[in-house]
Amino acid sequence: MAPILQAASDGWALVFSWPNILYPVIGTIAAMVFAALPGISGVTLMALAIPLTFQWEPLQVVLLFGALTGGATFMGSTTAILLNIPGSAPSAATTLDGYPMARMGQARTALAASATASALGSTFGVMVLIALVPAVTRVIPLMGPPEYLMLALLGLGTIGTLVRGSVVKGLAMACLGLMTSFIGLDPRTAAPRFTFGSLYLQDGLGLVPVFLGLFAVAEVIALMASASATVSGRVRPEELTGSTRDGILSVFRHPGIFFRSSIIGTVIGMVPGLGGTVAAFVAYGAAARTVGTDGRFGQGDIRGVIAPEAAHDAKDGGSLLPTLALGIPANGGTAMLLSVLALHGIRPGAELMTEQLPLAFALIWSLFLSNWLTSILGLALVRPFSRLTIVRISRLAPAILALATLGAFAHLGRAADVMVALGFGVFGWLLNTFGWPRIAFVIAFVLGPLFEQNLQLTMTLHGLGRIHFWSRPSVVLIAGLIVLAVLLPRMRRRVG
Amino acid sequence: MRRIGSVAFTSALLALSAVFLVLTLGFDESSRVVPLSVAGSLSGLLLVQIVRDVREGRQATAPIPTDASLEAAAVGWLLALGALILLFGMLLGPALFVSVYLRRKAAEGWLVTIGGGATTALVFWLVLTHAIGAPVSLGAVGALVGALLGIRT
Repeated sequence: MAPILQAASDGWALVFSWPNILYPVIGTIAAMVFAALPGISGVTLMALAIPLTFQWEPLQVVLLFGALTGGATFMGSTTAILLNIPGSAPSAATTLDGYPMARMGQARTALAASATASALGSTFGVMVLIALVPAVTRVIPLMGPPEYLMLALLGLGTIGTLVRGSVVKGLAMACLGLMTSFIGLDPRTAAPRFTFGSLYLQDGLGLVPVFLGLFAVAEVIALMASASATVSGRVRPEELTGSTRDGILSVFRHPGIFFRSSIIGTVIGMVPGLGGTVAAFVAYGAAARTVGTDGRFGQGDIRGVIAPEAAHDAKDGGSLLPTLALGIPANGGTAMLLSVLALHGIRPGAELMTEQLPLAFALIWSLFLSNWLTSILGLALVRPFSRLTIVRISRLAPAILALATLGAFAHLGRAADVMVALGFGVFGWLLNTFGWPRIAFVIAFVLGPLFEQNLQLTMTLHGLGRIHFWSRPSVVLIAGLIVLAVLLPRMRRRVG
Repeated sequence: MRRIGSVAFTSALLALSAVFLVLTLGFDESSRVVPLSVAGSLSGLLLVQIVRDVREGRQATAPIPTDASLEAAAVGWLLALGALILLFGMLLGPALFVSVYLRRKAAEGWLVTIGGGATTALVFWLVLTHAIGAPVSLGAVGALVGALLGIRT
């Protein structure tokens, strides 16, 4: 452990020295500006930044890219809370309680809680990363299709807790979400499914246009059809309730939810292929299970903001583990990071984790710094940001629609994505109008590919006698978690 | 009215699930297991829901108050945005939408109307051309005008 602490200290010194500190600061500000535009993720910004770095030293590169990885996270949540526009796919989970809070005039509290949970969650992820570097490098290669399948089932199991009202409607929406996620090429045979001869549909429907439609566009239709003059129903700043202080303190008032969500985020971040969207929704589901029928969960509960925000940011630290230690990208952002490291002759794996450990820590501390910087800037901007909720809807609606359109298009530069976003907007509004739970659709849509691919792989491997499903300790462990997740809320309800 | 809408919506979902079910039956045997079981469950659940909707409709006495004209107008504006993008492309379409909306729906003055449209066009142009480097199409109208003038758009 001592060499690791020494390397951590050396990495810290590298980041917090002049002029090195400029790279993470500039990277963070650039990431914040870009992340405020829906659909433009940190990955897009990283891709744009690569050509700038061709002549740079490896240290400068890791400092900038660490900041780009961390900086984009918080701003996506700001638009999610204020306007129901998820700046990135993982922020969709934050809209579920954040936006209702903004509508109740408590945008300041929600934004401050988001910033605080975000900063502390990332700190948690980084601390776990430092502590687990030696151990996890041995565990990650043991993750196979059965474990991924069980993780997908764990995520799908949250739907039962999150859905209020009709169970039939909740299950039907989950099935429809799964069916929608099956659109595209069959993972086994590569044959087109449900594509109706369209080349566009062969890639499947993207998360970004679907989320922008279901959340932002659907909300704009509801706002335009409502009698309310502003998002919060208030017209003067002094009428807004809630405060930055309340938001910060709320994270400390709910330590259980914060720590559980941070652990979920870190663990899911470590597992390649899962990413922030799964982390945010699974943490949200876990928080819903804890809360049970208490409070206004799903209708503007601060715990519904803390959970996805902590998980989403804790994921950053976790996702660096397989990336740096094994050279396995955990998500799109870390895949881009690996590419840029390779361009500069840095090889993740044993060499980086032994001889170049201070450089690896410079990256980790840069990520840590950017997460804190975004949160501090976010807290400073809570008051002006919250004023968006008192802008007249007739002025705000066209701006939100234009932003959603831009986000859907900018994601992959395809005009068809805009039409998908508008179509899902009408669909999301109809779901809301007739009392169908969007959340069940969204979770199933996110987890569908993970579930199907790994179910098929597991069945094939099991059929070939290559694996014995129940003899894998991690499968049994996750199965136990699923059973607990389903039974605990029922038992608690009975006892209550 | 809302009850009829609810039954109609559930019926539309059921029709969609039937399409999924029929298409799934055409897949090869090894690929159809997961989609078939999900599509089958979906159809069953939606049938149960339609029966419930119809029953609730019979028992319901007072309709839920809603302003259908406002809702129809909101969906109409959304369709207008889609149509403007198809006609004028990703740069001019949203800018025209913002201007028309601000003038007609928000009853703003010409300064805000033109300013809103111009700002939208500028933001789209900056993001599309400078940030992501996407080709900026001018839509069907742009293509037609270009063809008439012999310019490739």
